Amino acid sequence: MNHEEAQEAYSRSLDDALEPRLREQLRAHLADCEDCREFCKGLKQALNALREMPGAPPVPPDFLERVAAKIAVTPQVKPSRWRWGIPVLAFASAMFVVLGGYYVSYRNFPAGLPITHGSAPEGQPATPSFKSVAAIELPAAALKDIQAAVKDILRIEEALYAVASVKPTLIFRGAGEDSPLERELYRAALKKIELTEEIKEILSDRHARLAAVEALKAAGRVGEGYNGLLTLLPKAASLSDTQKKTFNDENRDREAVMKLYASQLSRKLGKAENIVVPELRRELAAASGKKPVSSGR
Amino acid sequence: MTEAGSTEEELVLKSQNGDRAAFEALMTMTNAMCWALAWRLTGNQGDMEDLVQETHLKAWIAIPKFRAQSKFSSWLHSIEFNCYMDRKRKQGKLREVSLDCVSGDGERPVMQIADPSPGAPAQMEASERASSIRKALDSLRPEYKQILIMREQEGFSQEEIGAVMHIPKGTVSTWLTRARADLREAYLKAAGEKL
Repeated sequence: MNHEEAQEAYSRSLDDALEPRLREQLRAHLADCEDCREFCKGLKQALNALREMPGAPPVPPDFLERVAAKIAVTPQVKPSRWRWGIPVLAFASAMFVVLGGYYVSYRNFPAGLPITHGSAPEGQPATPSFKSVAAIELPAAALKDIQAAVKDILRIEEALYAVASVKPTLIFRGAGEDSPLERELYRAALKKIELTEEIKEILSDRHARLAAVEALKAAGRVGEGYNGLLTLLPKAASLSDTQKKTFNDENRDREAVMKLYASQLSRKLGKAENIVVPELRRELAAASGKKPVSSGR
Repeated sequence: MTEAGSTEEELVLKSQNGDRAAFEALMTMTNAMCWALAWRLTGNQGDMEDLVQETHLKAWIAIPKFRAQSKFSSWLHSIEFNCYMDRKRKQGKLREVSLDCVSGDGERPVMQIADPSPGAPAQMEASERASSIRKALDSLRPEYKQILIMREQEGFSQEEIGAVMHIPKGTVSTWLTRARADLREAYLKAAGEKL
């Protein structure tokens, strides 16, 4: 057991989620490792402080009455004809295409790339008067998150989400008046990721897989399912083991990405039903012509 | 309250049909939970009142869409956290006011007066711990902050956290590990700055 594994095991032990075998290994590691003992001690101190945080001040006596007065004049909304799952999957699936395109092509982004404008919202000029992207500084915490979270493709997704929490509409809205600026910020975030050999390999693999998927689609062996996942077509019977693995890996990652975004989008979908999804579809239709994922490695 | 004696499920059903009295009863049942969470998230009374009020209002508006696939309290928890995130986004960052330098209303600075009583050093130490952990908590990624509050302060199980945050149990475990490590680092740093 190395330090990282020991520290992870210690955290899991706090949730009583550590198997006896790992518990023994952890005990043995801690007996010999002062650094990890220090880690555990510091973590205990922090968690104790967290649990002992001062309680909330009392609720003002008239608080609920004030809220009730507001509720009395607030109408409810009737459930939409849309089910939540449909826009979640449609939007998340669409975002996956956008992200996939960025992964494939971001290494080619030159510094100071001109903003790529999508369809402008109704009533808005095609070229919004945004301040220069160069003037935008990502907060250090977000950069740290990006740097720390790039061990695999999903962790890159998480890192991008961390950026989105700084500029929230970055991921939630693929279209709208902030869209070009958001895209530039998104690219700026990607460019901040240090291209270690490990990450280059991940991106290269991702690139290769997207190309393989495109080839399978072009051959009529797989198609895009309504749920944002790949689906097998009749010709799929003759898929090789490698092609089956490509299919399964791609769907596994898509599903994980969809879950990740769906978890963050749950509240934004009220707007997505009426505004974002139709806009995004138009945007993606235009963008997909510009950035075919099957371009060479 | 005329709704006394009704179960939570009954109150939810009535609220979904526009019964304001039933919703007020639900609000009374859940307000302490919302209030405590708001305090943990914001750390000052002005913001927490606004947050809890907004949570109740949004819950009222959205309750016809509640499908009872999760517990009502979990659903409310999601709404409150989303409201907090929205406010944070709109404001850039919520006002961060150290707990040890504000009055109960979160607005006026409190004078630091030396206390000669025997318990004063211990109180000061506790106050410094509270200040450091608040600073550390506020420095975390929002989802890490949420997951730590739910697990360490509110005692949610990993399954319950997964249901609220819509993530698989494996992800809950991973995020908890990372969140704890980040909290430790931030706390020790904040505590070290006070020495």
